[in-house]
Amino acid sequence: MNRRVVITGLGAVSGLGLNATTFWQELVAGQSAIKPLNLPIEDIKISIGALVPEFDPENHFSSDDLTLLDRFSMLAVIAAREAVCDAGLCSGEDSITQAAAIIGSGCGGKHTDEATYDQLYKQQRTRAHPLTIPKGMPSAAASMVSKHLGIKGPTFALASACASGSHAIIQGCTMIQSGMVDVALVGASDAPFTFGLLKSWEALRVATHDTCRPFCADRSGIVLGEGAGMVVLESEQHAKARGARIYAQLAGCGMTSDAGHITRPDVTGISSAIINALDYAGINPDEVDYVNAHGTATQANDIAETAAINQVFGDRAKKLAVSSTKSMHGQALGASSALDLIASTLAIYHGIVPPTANFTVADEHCDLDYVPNIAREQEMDVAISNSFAFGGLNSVIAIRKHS
Amino acid sequence: MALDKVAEIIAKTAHCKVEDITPETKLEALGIDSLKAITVLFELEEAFDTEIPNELISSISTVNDILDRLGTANC
Repeated sequence: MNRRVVITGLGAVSGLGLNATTFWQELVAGQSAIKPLNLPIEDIKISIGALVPEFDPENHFSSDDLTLLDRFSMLAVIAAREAVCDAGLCSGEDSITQAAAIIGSGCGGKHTDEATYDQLYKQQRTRAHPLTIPKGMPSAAASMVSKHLGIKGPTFALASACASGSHAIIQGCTMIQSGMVDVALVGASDAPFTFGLLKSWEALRVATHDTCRPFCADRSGIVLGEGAGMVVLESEQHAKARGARIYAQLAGCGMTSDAGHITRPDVTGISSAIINALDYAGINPDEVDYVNAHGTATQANDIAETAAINQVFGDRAKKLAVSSTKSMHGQALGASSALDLIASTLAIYHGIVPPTANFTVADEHCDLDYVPNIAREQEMDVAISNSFAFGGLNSVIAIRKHS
Repeated sequence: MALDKVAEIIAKTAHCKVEDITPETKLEALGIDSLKAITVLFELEEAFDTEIPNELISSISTVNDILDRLGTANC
């Protein structure tokens, strides 16, 4: 890498709470946010999920602002505000005005779109609400983050299903490396608890009624979550010049596509992405301490991911701490990949590996150390965060302790 | 009265008091920009079960203009 990129600000809204502090506390405590949904929607078989708790939009936005904010945009802006503040930056200063904002999403403004479609299709209304397009468009969250934070640099949305946040973070990283910007606010947001989307996930038959148990023999599928993860990235030079606290170095990234099955993961696609991230960072596999796994708890992912880790790391694989924080914040689609990177960053920074919660007994094909149920204090130099999306889009980020 | 209903709809979008709205009030003075204006028109069309053609929108400046378009200026 020509210009070192560092992580200086974190913002996390998830089922675990409305900020990164709560997010980390709950992860370390092994607390799962997965609960009965009790949504006022009939005829939904999906009965559990990780909803953002005690969330009242009016505590965060004026009524005027709320007319233009889909739920996924609200979550994005709240996490973005936290990340910028956490980085010690403020709206109005050049660092923020000139920054980039790359905001991913797996599903975009579904609350808005579905409300309008419900009116048109189900209630036979003749006109759509006029703000449906600006609120529901996939780039709405990027625009709202830009507006609310005063970011006027390169700003756009990015979509790669459940890897959207990871790809957005990598996009921001490469923009800093190229010299295009010094600061990038990057991440993703998703709010998938809508009738149409829940019915669609239900039809895929990958959602469990039990809970999320990654890598376990009795795992039975994913649990949906909602939230937003935002990260402030900076060139090391820029961060040092202003005396910023540095959580970790974003050391490398690897991206591949399976060019194959639309939902089934491919071991080679995954292992290639991990290898590319390590090569990019100049990291030897023996230097890696922790893997924040994609770990969705589907039959296919957990076996393929374990096989890929074994393939890349060889004997080192058994010495790695591997955990899936989705067991606690759920599969919040694109937002999950950003939340996973935040978990990895805080793991390196605090020297604590968050566990895989809800763990029972490992699957016979899952033979790694998944840090079951209890967090572990462990000094770490290097971690990788895995994110693999439907459509075969793989993204891996390597981070290194900053010194 | 139609004015009461129109004022109620405008006040909701403009976040002002219904009493502050008279037939002579200019929408711009209430902070109603083009985006808010189409929201107001949507609510009006729904409430009055009518259609306000796009061609007429540019000529709407005051509350009275709205009442005219709705054909209810004298209600």
